[in-house]
Amino acid sequence: MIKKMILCSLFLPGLMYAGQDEEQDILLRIDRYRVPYEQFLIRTQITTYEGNKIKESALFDAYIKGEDKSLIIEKEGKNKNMKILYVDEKMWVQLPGSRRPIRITPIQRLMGQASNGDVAKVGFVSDYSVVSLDTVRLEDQTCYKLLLKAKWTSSTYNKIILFVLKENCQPVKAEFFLISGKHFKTAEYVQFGLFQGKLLLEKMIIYDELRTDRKTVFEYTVIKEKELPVRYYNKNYLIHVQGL
Amino acid sequence: MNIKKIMIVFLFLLPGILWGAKWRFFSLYKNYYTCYRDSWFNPDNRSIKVLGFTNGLHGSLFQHMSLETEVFTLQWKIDILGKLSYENEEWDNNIDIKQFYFQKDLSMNLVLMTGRTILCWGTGYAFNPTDVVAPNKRLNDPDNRERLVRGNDLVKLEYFGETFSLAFCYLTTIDMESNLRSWRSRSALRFYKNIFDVDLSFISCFDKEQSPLWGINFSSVLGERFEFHGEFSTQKGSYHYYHKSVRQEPRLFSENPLSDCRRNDDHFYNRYLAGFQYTLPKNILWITEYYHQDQGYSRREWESVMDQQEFIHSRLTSPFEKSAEINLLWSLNIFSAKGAMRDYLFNYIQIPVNRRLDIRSTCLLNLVDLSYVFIQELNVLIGKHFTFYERNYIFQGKRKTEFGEFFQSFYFEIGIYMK
Repeated sequence: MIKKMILCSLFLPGLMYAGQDEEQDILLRIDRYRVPYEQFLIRTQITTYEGNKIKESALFDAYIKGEDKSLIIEKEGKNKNMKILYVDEKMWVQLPGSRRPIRITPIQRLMGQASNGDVAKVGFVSDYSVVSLDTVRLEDQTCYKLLLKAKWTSSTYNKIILFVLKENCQPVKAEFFLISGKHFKTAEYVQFGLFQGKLLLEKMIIYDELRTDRKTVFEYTVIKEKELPVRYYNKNYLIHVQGL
Repeated sequence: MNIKKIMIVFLFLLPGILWGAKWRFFSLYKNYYTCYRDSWFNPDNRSIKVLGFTNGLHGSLFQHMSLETEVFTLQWKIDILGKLSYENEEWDNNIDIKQFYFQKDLSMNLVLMTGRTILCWGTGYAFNPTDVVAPNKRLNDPDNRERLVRGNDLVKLEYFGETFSLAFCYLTTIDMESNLRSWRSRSALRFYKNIFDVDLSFISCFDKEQSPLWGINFSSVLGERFEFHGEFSTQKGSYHYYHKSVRQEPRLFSENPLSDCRRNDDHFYNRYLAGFQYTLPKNILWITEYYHQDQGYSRREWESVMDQQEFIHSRLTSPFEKSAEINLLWSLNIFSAKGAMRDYLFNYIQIPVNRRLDIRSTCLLNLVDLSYVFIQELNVLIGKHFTFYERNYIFQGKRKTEFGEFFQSFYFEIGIYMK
């Protein structure tokens, strides 16, 4: 009996590690719907609604490089030509006309219910680890329910409850929480489409938990492989960025 | 001169059109009322009258045009400002090239920039002790929203690494020490790196007529809403212009009494700034900064300056009236955009009431004599492109204080801008 227990205890870490491996694998599969290449351009139309009325609309181009860098340019909207740089959990904004980039945080509001981090960061793997994994039924579909915890204090959200389809790990819904434990907002992943032969997220709606009549719609109109030189991800190069 | 400028503009418009340049237009129309004060620097508005200024309503129309494009990997940008104004009972017009520069990526990491441009190396909002490349700031518009600031003529070579950058800059700039303008050429170096979540820049500046300046600045964030920053610079000797009355008994001077008499001092003069930017709920922005400059007048020195003004005043009704009047005008140059004294507290609050209306207030407090400038501003967005604004300045303080003796007491401005 004792021998069996010793044998089991020897295998336990391995089994636990295998579990973590599976969870990590699910997270990677989820990210494939949002992170199709190592470096790419993602064009996002963000529209905020109050009731059924459009309140604000803007178009953003995000140049994503790996897990830790992105450059966002507002192409149309109130702050046209505004640039946001995200590098290694740090964020700067260069407002149009200003010659000085200023530090900001990912949670700060970009527009409507959209935070800076919602546009700058598209994947989960680099910022969150899986705390628990369950199988649940959600709107007549079998889903994985993942509880994600932020790896870094600078991550956009402290905790995320993410629902994905069990059959293909396609995201369905996410609930976002702040450090205070407050349920901040909820995202619904409503539409997927083909971009250069890859099935990717095409439309996402974020609902405000406090003001239920308010929602922000993200529509991804262009997702394509695109590489920018490394200087574009240097804070001091922001004032030089032209022609993108 | 204007024809030359128009020719340059025309030359660059044509390829701009051909190569599909990006155009931006910004129009600003403002009316303003200035109320000058009877002070020791401006008794019975005498100094102001000699300079041709009048109490009353003035108006200016600014038309700003910006054009940028890329031709065969050479990027260039031009910002032109046309001004039509009615000031001090006279019409005036002017065209000024605020920015005009070329930029070329020499390699994947090396960028060359040449021409006239506005650079910013500091982290402070109101003052920048380390910013040796930036043009002088305007207190009412540190972000240059009105696009009235003229860039410096420079050549800049910058290497961009993944986590650092190294810049060399050679520039010609208008120096505004004690409000006396002088053209200066200098070279400057900056090394930037983000270390432990802090943006750090080491800056040095070399000028053949001055000792080297060394500086360091930083900025970082704490939590979700708090940004903090600081700057420190030091230089052997002071290049500030002081009124000779700080070392001599009051008298009428026969030549400009302002001089950089401490340029050969052996000790180091420091300037430093510490501040934060906090975003309160409902996107209320709050900026506070403390600024110190060793170069500024001490309380005792300021008292000497005021004794001098009293002396000049007593001579205005004597046979030396003309000489006294000229001395008054020279004394006006004591007031500087960089502050005349040593310690200041700057405070700025921006309250977005709703999507169309925001209220801003700025206060610069002289911590030595507790005099202050208060600027209140209101912006109303009309439609998609027009913004109506109202802004007023109040210069306040007891007699013989910096802002209490400033030659303006009140300034009111209303305007509309379109972009």
